[in-house]
Amino acid sequence: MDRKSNIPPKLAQWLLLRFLREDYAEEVLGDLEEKFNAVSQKGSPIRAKLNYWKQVIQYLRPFAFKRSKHSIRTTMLHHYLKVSWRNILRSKGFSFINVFGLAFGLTASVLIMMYVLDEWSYDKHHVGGDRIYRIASESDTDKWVAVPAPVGGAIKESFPEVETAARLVRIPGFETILLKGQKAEKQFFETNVFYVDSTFFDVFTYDFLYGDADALSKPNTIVISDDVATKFFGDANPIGEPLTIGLSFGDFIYTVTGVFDRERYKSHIPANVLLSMDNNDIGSWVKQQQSWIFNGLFHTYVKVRPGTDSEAFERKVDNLYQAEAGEDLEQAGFTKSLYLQPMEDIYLHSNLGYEVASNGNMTYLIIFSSIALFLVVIACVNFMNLSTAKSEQRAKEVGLRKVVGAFRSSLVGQFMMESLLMSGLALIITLILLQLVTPYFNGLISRELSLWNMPIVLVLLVGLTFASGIVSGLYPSFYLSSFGPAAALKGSLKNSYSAKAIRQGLVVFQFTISSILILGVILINQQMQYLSSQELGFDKSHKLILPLKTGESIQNSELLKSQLRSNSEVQQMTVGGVYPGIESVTDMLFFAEGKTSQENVDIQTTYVEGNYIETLGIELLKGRTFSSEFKSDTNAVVLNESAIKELGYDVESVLGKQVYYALNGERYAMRIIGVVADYHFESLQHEIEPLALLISPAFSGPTRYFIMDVQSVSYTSLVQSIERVWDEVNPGSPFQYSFLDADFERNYRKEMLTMQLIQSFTLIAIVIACLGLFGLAAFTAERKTKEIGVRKVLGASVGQVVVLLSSEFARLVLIAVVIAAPIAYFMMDEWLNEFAYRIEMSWWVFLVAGLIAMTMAILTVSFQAIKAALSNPVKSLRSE
Amino acid sequence: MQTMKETKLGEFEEVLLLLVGILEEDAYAFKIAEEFEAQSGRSASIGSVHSTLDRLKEKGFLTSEMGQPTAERGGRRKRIYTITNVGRNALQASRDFKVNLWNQYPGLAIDKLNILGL
Repeated sequence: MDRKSNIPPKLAQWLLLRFLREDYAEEVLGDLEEKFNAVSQKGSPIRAKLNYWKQVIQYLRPFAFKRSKHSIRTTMLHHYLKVSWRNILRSKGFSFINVFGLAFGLTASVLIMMYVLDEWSYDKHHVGGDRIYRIASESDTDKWVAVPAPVGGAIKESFPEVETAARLVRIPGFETILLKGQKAEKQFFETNVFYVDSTFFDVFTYDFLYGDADALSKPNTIVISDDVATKFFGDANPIGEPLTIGLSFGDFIYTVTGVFDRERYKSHIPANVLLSMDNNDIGSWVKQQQSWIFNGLFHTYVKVRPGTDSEAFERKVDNLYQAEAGEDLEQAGFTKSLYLQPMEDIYLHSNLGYEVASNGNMTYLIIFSSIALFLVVIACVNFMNLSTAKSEQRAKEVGLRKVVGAFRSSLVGQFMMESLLMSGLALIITLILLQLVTPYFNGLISRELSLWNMPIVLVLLVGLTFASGIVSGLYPSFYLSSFGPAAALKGSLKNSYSAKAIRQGLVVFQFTISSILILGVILINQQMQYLSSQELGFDKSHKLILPLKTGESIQNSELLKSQLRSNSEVQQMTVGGVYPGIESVTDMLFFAEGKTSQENVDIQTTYVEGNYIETLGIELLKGRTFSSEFKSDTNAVVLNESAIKELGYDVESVLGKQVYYALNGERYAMRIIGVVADYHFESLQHEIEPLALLISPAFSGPTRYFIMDVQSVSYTSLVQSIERVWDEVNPGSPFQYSFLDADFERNYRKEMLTMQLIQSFTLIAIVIACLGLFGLAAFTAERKTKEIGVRKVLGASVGQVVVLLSSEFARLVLIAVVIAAPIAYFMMDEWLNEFAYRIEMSWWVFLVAGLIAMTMAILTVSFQAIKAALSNPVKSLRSE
Repeated sequence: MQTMKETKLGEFEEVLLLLVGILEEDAYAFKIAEEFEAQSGRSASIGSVHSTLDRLKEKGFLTSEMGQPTAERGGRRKRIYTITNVGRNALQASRDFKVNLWNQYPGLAIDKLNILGL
C-alpha cells in the first residue's frame, strides 16, 4: 500500500469542513482519520475511502453544523447588505449614474455581440463544411467567384479526392421570378431563386421539412423554403404539387420535391427557391455551355475527401483549367487562373465579382466587435472610477470599523458586497433594457435576434457584469482596508496620489476611445456624403423602373409605351437590359481597327432600346444616339469615354470607326456612332469601366426593364395610374415597380446601416463617458467645497472657480484627443480604402473631433463646477 | 418539567454512557463507536455516536476535555469524555428501574435481559 492511497479523500475533508462547526473540526477529523486507518488496515484503501465518505455524510446532523442562524458570518452578510443598500440610497445620484452607466454600456455591447455572433454563424452548419471549397477565378482585371460550366464536372471526373461537386447558376435578373400556383390568384414574385445541380444537397446541408437530400435528382423539380410553401399550399404537404415559373420566354411547370426550413441555418446562399438545373427552360442552354472561357456564371462548389491537401488540390485544379482552357484563353488574349475559396469563409471574407448574394463584411465585424469591447470597457472603467472615488469618502467609516475591531477581511467583504450589489442591479436593468430595445434593433438590422437564443452572450453578460463588480470592488476593498485605523480616521487618505493617477489614467483612456469613435463617425459621414454627392453622369431622380419579367410584358412593351404616351407626367420611356445601380455582368472582348483579336479590351455591354440615353439623361459627347430612322443601327455601338481611351481611339475623331469582336473564330464589326461621358452604371464601390451600349439583339440578355422619366406632384397616384395601364396591357403579369434612386442607394445599404449603428453606439459611448466625468466632477467639487469657500471669501470670481475645477479635466481630455488622432487615422484609412471613390482625411476633421470631445467634457464638468462656484461660501465654511 | 426531560435516558444514550464508563481514558467518539460495534454487532457511524455524546453532554451526564494528539489521527487531539455524577446517577436510576421491573417479570428474566436495552 503506497502512501498516497493511505490518505483520506481530500474532497470529503473539504466538504466536511464546509459545514462542520469549527470547534469540532480537530476531534472529528482525528476520529475519522483513525477510522480510515482502521478500515484501510483491514481491507482495501478504496473501501476505506468510501467509508470515509459515508462517515462524512453521517456527520450531516444539526448538532455538527455551523451555527447558521446566529453565526457571525451570516450576521455580517446581513449587515453588509444593509449597509450597502443604505449607501446606495444615500447617494442616489451617484448610484444612478454608476448603475445606469454600466447598464447602458452592457446593453449596447450585448446588442452588438448578438449581431456579430449572428454574422459568424453563416455556413457553420454544413456537414463536412471545412472540406467544401468554391472555385473562383482571377483574371488580369478582376476576381470573379463563378466559373464556366464545364469546370465543375471536369474536376469531379479528374480528381479522386473530390467527394462530390455541385454547381449553382444565378442568372442576373432571374433571381426574382414569378411563381404561379394552380389557381390563378396564387402568383407571387419570389426572390433569391437559384438553379442548382442535383448534387447540391450532397454538398450543402439543409434542414428538410418535407423531402430529402435527393429532392432534385429528377428533372424539372423545385425545392422551396417553408415561407414559400406556406404562401402556396398553407400547412399541407406540398410534395408532388406542381408549381409554374413564369419567365420572359415562357411558362414552365416544376414539381415540388422538397421544403426546407429557411430560418434554421444561415448561408451565403440565401435561397428561397432552388430549381433543378436539368429542366425545360434554361436546361438546354446549360447543356450548350461547353466553353471553358465564356459565361463564367456557374458557382462551382466541391467537397473534397477528408485529409486532402487544399493547396496541392488548388494547384491541380488550376493546372487542369490551364490545360483545358489555355488555348482558348490565348486566342482571346486573356489570362485567367482558378483558385479555391474555403466555403465557410465566403460570407465574411468574400466580396468579389458576381457573388451569389450580398455578403457580410469582416471589416465591419471587427469595427463592431471593437465598439462592443470599448463600450464594455468604458462602462466598467466608469463603474470602477466612480466606486473608487466615492469610497475614499468612506475612510472615516473604515477607520471606525477598524477601531471597533473589524477584520480586514470583513472590510473587503463589505466593499465587495456593495460593488456586487451595484453590478447586480445593473444586470437587472440591462436585461430589462434589452427586452425593450431588441425589437427596434432587430428592425434596424432586419434580423430576428434574441438574447435567449444565444446562451453564450447571456453567459458573457452575466460574467462581465460580475467581473466588473469584482474588479471595481477590488480597489476600495484592498486599498482602503490596508490603512491603519488612525490614518483612516485622520482622513490622510486624501493624499493618495496613486489612486488619483489611476483615476486620471482611466479618464484619459475613456476619452481616447470616445474621440476615436467621434472621429470615426465624422469620417464615415463625410464619406457617405461624398458618395451620394458624386457626379453619377446620369440623372437618377424621378426614374420609375418596371421590370419586365414575363414574355407577355416584353412583347407588349411597345404597346405599353404607346398607351402611356398620353400621360403627360411620363416624359420619356425606354427599355434596357439593365439600368444604373444594378449588377451588370455582360461583357465582350472588343478590339480596335488595325489590332489583332489578342490586343483586346474587356468592355461591359448593355442592351438598350431607343431613347435609353435620353431617358436616363446620360451626356452625349459626340455623334448621335440610336434611332429607328437608321436601319443599320443594329450594327452600331455607342461607347463611353473610358472605352474609347482603352481602345486607343480619340474622342474627336472616333465617329464612324469600327470596333470588332471575335466569336467562335469569326470576326464581327460594329460602327461607332456616338460617345457618351463616363457614367456610373454600377455602384460607386466600382470604378467606371469601359462600356458599350448596343441595340443589336445579339447582345440582348434575358432581362428587360421598362424605364420612365417621370415628373409628378403625386407619385403615388402616378404609379396607380401606370398600374391601371399595365394591368390592361399585361393581364397575366403582376405589376412591380421601383425607383432608380432607391435601387442605387440600396448598394450602400450595408454602409448606411453600419454608419447608423456606429453613430448610435458612439453616442452611447460618449454619454457613458460623460456620465462618468459628471460623477467624478461632482466628487471633486464636493471634496473642494472648503477650498472653494475660502477662495470665494478671499475674492475669487465664479469664473475663476469654474476654471479651477474644469482645467484638470480639460487637460486629461486634451491628452486623450492627442492619443486618439493617430489611432483613428490608421483605422479609418483602412476602411476608406474599400471604396473606389474615397475622401482624403483633412486635418480639420481631427480638430473638430477634438473640439467636440472637449466641449462635451467641459460642459459636463462645468455644470458641477458652476454649481460649486455659485454656492454660498458661508454654508460650506460654517460646518467647521 | 425541564429537569424531567433532561434526566430521561434513551436506550442508545444509556449504552453510550455505559461505554464511556467502561473505556475510561479511551472514551472518545471513534473508540466508543468501535466498541459499540464490537459489543453489539451493530454498526454505528462516528457521526451518530458523536451526536449522542454531544446531547449527553448538554444534559450534563458527560463532560469532556481535549486529550493528547496521536500519530494515527494525523497528529490531532481527541475529545475524551468522562461520565459525571449526574450521569452515574442517571445510569443507576435506569438500572434500578429495570431491575425492579424484571423482578416483577415472571421467570427467565436473565435470558431476556440481553435483548432488552438494545
